[in-house]
Amino acid sequence: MNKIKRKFKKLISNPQAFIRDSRLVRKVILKNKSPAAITINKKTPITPLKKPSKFEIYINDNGMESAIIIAHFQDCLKGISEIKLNIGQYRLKSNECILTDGDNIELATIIASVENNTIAKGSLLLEVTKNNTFINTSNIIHKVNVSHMKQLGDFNSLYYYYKDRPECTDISKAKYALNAGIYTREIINLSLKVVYDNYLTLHQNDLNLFFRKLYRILGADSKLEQLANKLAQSIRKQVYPVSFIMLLAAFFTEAGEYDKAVEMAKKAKSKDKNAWRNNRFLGLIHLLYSTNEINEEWAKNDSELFKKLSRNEWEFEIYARENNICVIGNGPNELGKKQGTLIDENDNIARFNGAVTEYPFTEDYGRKTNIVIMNPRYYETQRNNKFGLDFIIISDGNLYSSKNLSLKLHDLEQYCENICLIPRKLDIQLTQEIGASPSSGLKFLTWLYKIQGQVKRKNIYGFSMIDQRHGMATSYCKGTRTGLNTIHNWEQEKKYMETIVEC
Amino acid sequence: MLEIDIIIPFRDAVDHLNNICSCLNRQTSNNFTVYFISDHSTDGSIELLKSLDLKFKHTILESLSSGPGAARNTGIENSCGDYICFIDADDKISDDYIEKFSFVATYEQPDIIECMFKAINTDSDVVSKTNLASYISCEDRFDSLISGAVPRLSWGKAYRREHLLRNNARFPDDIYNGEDHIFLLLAYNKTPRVSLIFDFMYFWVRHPNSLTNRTPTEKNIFDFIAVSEAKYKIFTERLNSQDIDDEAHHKNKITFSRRLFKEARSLKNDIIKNSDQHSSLIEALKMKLLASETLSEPMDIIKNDSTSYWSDVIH
Repeated sequence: MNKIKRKFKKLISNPQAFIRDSRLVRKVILKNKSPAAITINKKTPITPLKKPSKFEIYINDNGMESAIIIAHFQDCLKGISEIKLNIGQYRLKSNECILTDGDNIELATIIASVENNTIAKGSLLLEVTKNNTFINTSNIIHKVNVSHMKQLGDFNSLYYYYKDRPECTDISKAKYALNAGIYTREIINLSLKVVYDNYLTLHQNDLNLFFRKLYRILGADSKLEQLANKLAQSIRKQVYPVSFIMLLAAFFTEAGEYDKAVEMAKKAKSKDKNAWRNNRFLGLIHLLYSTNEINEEWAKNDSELFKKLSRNEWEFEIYARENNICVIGNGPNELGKKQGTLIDENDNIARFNGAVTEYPFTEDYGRKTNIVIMNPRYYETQRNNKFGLDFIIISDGNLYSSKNLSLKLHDLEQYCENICLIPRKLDIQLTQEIGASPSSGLKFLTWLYKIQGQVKRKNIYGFSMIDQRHGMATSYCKGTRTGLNTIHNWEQEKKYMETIVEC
Repeated sequence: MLEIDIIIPFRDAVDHLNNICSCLNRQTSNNFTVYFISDHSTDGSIELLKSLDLKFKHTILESLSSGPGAARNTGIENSCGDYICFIDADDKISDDYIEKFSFVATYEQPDIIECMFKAINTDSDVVSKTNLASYISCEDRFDSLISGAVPRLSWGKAYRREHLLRNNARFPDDIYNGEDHIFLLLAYNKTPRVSLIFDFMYFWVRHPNSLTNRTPTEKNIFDFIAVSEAKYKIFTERLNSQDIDDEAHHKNKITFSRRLFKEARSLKNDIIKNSDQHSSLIEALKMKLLASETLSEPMDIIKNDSTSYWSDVIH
């Protein structure tokens, strides 16, 4: 029975082999052939091997870290159909993998590392061990590495990886740089050129990206006026995402083009009745509420908040003029110095994000906190529920272009009446000055500088900056790299800081 | 750098020696000595070798016994380098063959170094090649050789001389088919340290008239039984020395027996396809298998096995 089953399976799956190997069929064939023909065809010809259509990657499965790497490999290869991934127990070192196109073999090193159960940003995934001479394999490694950086959202590495490659175009260079948080003058000018020169041919997603990023860097600048008007025109004719239409409305609000702002907002609402509630830009909602376009309770609260934040910005400036403020950064450079008591002797102390004020860190960094400067993304900064603060200062967000900021601010109002934002103008100036999104620390120190003049060095602790790579941040309480999404340019920040802090 | 000895056995290879000598002349490293071992050649091969302009150290010797295995053994006994490589006279190697083997030998000093191969026909089309997954598999190489997961080929490798001597790894005399199997089982028996080179550096040229491609005769059957018996002895000795439970013990024996009968079936099919006297040869194969006392246990296993091997070979 087994034999019949096996033969039948062979007939179905490989009829050629079945005929070749079948005694019965062979007998029939041989009967019909002349003896001469039989002698000539005695040996099966040695036929060439078919080339496999796929590239293959072999990686080792050996332990926890490799499970994370394997899962990442699988994610990276999802969009690359020409690669087959083989996972197994192989004679390879834990950081080695093999790539093959069938004809050539390439031994590669997995250089990405795992930190806190996450693949760390800042490096490629694969690097060939020897000088690879196989163009095909080289292309595959390139594709895998690009996919790796995109998977991690590591646009910083992607930008530096791509910028000198021959296939890099102005469009891709500008896109990757903006995504990476590289906002130098060169990139701003290139982006403006790209977007104006290619307005008609750029993909809508790219147009949205350029506008969103340029608005982040330049604010409601006249350089963006023409682009915003073109986009408004396109929105009147074409289908655009509701969130983008609302962002354009927010831009027009900030630019003082209230009619256009209301028109865009209405356009968004016509596509989605919840467009306003789901895209809450404080300035825009205040405009809509004050022009009676909306009268719901949440809009009223947001409008109140808009006015309160504007007023509190002013209040903080008065406070800063009248009080000496000691600023404690989260850099690890104070560890072991036992200056906690000295720090706490200051009248007014400002700390950042989820600064830890618990023993044993109090020994070096103190405990007292009057002002908390924070990023409202709780992924990166714990929800700070301290009472009795003089101010909470939101470092990342503004009255006009920050979406849904009010939700977090209403939450924080439970703990502190005095919440304010870092002035929009200061953020824009500083961003352009250092060519990157500035850190909370630098923004706050710059604000103090604008209010008080040169910041006294004795009032600053925990600002190391020098030991941090681009895109990385370190914290005294964690000891390892944290905030993998940060894209601050520490080198530029250090240079700028030296100009605002007294010698 | 450690010294590499290359052993090239040949018999009446006057048509091929020129090619392999060109390959050796082109080597990027001269850190090797070649031992040409003639298996009683009569076609002028030795004279040809003497007349060639060879740019490498070499010695020409006559085999002490007959068969390709015996010629290789003669090479092992007469060479003195740190590592030994076997190359067939009608095959080809890459220009950096010695350089790469020498590098791994010097810096890793494993017991055996392996490289990848491509089998090519006379038109240089690739007809088969190293199966990468099996090549890099962590499975014990001895077990892979028994199950047939890796090919039983003595070339494309470099063996540390000391390792071969310690394990008394030699080729059987007067066997023309499957002599590599015995040598490899002995060489891989004591879990040697193996290093891999990830490159296709050995090119097995499949000539229509090569030893492995000839019409089967009674000698093939004799060789098959002799090699199978020798393999079974090495296999059972190793199995009995291992500290494994009865189930694993039995499982290993089933693997061996199935492989043995799979090979017997291939030989039978080869005879049917390519021999004019297939009835008598098939009968001889059956009789010799049934008469082998050494192979009685694997035969009992297959007789009661769920596979069709028994009926395919014996009936």
